[in-house]
Amino acid sequence: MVRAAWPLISMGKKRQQLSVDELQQIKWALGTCLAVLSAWTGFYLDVNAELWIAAVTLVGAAVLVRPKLPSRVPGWVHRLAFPVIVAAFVVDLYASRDTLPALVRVELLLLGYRLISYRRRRDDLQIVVLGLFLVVIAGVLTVSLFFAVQILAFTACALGFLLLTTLVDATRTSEAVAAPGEVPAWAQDIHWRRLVGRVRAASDWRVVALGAVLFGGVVVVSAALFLAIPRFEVGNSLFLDRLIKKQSRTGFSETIRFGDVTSIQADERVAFTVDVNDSKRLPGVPYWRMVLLDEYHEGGFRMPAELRSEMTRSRSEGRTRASGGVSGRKGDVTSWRFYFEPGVSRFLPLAGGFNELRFNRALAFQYNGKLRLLALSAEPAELLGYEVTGMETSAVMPDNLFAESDRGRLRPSRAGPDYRKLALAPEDRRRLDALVATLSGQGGISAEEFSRRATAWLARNHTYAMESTLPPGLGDPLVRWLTSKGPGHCEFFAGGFTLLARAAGYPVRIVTGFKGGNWNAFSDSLIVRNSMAHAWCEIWNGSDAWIRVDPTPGAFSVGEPGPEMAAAQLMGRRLDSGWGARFDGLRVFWYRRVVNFDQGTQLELASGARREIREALRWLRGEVQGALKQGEAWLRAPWSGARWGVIGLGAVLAAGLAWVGARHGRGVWWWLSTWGRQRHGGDPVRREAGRWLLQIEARGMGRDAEGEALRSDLLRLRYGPPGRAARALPVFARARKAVRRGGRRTG
Amino acid sequence: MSDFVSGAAIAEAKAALSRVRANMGLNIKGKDDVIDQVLICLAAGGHLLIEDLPGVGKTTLAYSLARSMDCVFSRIQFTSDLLPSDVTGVAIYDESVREFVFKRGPVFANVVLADEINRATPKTQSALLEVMDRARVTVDGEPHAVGSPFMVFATQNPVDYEGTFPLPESQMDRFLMRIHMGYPLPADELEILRTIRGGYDSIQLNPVIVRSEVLQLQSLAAQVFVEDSVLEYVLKLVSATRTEAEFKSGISVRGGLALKSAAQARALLMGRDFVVPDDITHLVIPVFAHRLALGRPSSDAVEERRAVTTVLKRILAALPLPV
Repeated sequence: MVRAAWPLISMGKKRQQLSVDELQQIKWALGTCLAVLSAWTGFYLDVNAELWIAAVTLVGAAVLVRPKLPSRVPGWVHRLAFPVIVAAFVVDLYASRDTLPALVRVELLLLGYRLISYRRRRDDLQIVVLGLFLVVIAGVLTVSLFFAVQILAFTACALGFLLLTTLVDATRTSEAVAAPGEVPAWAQDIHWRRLVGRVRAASDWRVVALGAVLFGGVVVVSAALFLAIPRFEVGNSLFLDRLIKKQSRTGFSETIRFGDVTSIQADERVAFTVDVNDSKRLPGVPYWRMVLLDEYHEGGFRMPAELRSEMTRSRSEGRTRASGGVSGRKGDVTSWRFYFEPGVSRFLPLAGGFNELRFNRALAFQYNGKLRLLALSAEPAELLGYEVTGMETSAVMPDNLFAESDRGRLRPSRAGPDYRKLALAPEDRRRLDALVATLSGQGGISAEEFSRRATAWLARNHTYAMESTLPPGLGDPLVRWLTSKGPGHCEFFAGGFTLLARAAGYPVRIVTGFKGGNWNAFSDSLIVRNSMAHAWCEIWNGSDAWIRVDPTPGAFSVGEPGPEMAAAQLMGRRLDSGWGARFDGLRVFWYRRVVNFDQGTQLELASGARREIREALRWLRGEVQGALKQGEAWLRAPWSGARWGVIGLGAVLAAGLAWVGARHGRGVWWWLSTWGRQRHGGDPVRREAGRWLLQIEARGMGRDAEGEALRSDLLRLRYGPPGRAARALPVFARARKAVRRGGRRTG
Repeated sequence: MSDFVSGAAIAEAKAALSRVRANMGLNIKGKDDVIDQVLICLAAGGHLLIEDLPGVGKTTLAYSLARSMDCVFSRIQFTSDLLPSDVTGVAIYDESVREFVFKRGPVFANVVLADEINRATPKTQSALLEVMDRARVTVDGEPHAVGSPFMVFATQNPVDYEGTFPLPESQMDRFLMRIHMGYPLPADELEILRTIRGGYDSIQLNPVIVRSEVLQLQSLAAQVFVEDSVLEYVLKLVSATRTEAEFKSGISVRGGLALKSAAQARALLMGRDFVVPDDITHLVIPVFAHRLALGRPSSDAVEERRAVTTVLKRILAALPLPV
């Protein structure tokens, strides 16, 4: 068996060395991991390749557990493999008429084939190239945190794999690939656990640390390049975003229907993250508005067709900015950065109107300033970042246009949908009016007062439940629910309130979106999850504004909560902690620094760094100048005995330090430099002596009298009784000289 | 400066052992390595099993050692009719004092040569167990200390096994080392031929070391420093024999201790106050081989010993030295 003395393994130490067969075994394992890791990137892509990925994973696991399996693959498979793969690609291309998905699928096929054959050097390199293609495609498209993890794992794996490929190739034995049906020598007897033990025994932690440092260097250089290169949108440039797999999330809904039994699933995935530069501006319980549902039609609330159509039409094609047109918010510089996850909705969350909106890239969007609604022309396929400045968070939302309309000065259609409209059957209307009569009494009460009475009545008669039930019978389902005692969730309460208010003649509308959020202390940001999706109402106060009313029990509020309620809500805000929160914090970091890292942020960072450097230089210059002035003043001051004493003391101290340095400096430095090398009972002298012993033995020294004396001294330091550290340094110095002399002679 | 044994004491010990070596060398020609192993055994306070053919100098070796040390030498020829009391001694009734008086056997000496030990019955062989372990004999419930220092030289013929009783494992374990004399080199044998033939009683050697010095040597050897990594190496070797499929059973704890003691003695012989891995590797086969038996049946004793040695060499090659 050929023994390899690789620097990775030995570093001049007489420790266990890995054989070429063992290196081959590790290479086999790394190559398999690399192929499987690359194949998994296909999960991000919408290329209908789940079966292929599963097959590659299974094959990878099988050949890892049973490395002899490839020898059982018949020879004709290898002969036909490439013609069949090419034919499969052509057929796939013809059938799908889509180049890129077909390319991804053929890549997976090639990876799978490479796994079932013993690889030569060129095949190993092919695995790296194929894997890189898949990882880059998936990474460029998704820019997700998982991609970051995956590319790190891929890089580490590929570096190790290429190193082993080079090492094995250096023995000039690697090209002898096994014939079909033949098991190569290295695959004859693989025992992974034993191999791991051997690797541990043969590894030098310094080399491992060096590898880790190099890997860290690669990561740092990549990060620096990322920060330095000009920004551009690769996804848009390559028109590849159609490949990204869409993930729908549960929680938020754009329509509400009451005809069926509904249940809400608690989807704890993140819907969006809010990063606010002044956390004091964050309300106790923020309401993130996304959709207005005005029209009650056949047992459900929906957005009027005209409004839906308007929100779909993009007036801002290819733009990055929009003005909110909200008066009186010019001076508000509070910045709200939203990181909106894909798969939630095409409607984007806002707390209210704003001064300015800025996306991290040009896209097609529509903002309805009248309703304070923001929508994209299509649901984003990847994470979307946008920044809003001067945003309203109040529960009272002024609407001059509707006020004009309400006073009859404007045609109602210009002010928006009819918020009083209630299309109900006469029997349902009669039952509803009876309920309203009990609430409003003789009439003439304000919208706020009606809201308080209605929400209190709802809370008395219905309980909150994730799963709602409707009493059997005919007629409008929501009226049936109102007249029953059945439980319901937020949509029932909001819908019920809307029906009651409209029947009483108050303009009211349903808003859906998200409520609240968890504060993540690791990232200082608000994390809003899909489970926080909510529905509430906005009622016209009769004069100039819409007032938020949340009729759901437990969250009940009309307008701004009182100070006690706000404090209770603030105290009740969940604080995320633990590993989940750490991971969310990492995601936010990823959004802030990578996904949302546009040219503006880049310039901001560069100018910040320049500012910091200038500040540091100014501080340094000031300190030096101050010290020089002090010295000058000291020199110019009249001389006295005390000053001569200080000078003398300083000279004595300096001389003492110089003496200590000359006497013990080298020893201290040596102890410091060898500190932490804890082998041989934590005695670095023994370790060092062992190292020099190996060196002089490897050079065949120690045969003459001088060498024998040196060897004897080193043996004593290495194996002798403890307590000889003071004598160690001269012996090591002799050993160093002897080895250098020996090296020159040999050279 | 050593914290354990003074340099002067080590130098004195080395000089004393060198004197014994040179003195023995006057009679034992061309067997310096065998003499060294005997001296290691002496300094470690162990017993020696010499396995070789008759007439290669086993008795002369034991006698030379005894004479060099100014110690009492005794030889017991083991035969199948030898009784335990013939070895240890017996209590006989003395009419003059009207009580039983213990008559010491030949084991009461400093160097005892148990010639052809495997010819005696197991019962008689067992008579040596206590004395080899504790350096005392118990007769009629009364312990009797034998000489100090006490060393047993046992011999046996590995080829002629007709009418012999193989030593039990417990007995084998009590021998520190098993060595082979082997034939001398032609030049040395020629010199032997030139000398006048005489029995070992005619060997004239002056003592070069006194008994108290031998005891001091043994005390010094026990104080020789063994670094932890070397001890771990010994442990790894012992463990390797226990997990080796070829062996019926592994080395006992006593075997591991024996290797350590022998290595300490070798370090002393070399003039060191610490053990190096070389001491261990030099002594693994003489200390371990006789304590191990193959798991598979073997038709030939010599073949079995060779196989055991081969496996031990393989274990030695596989285990990295502590560096």
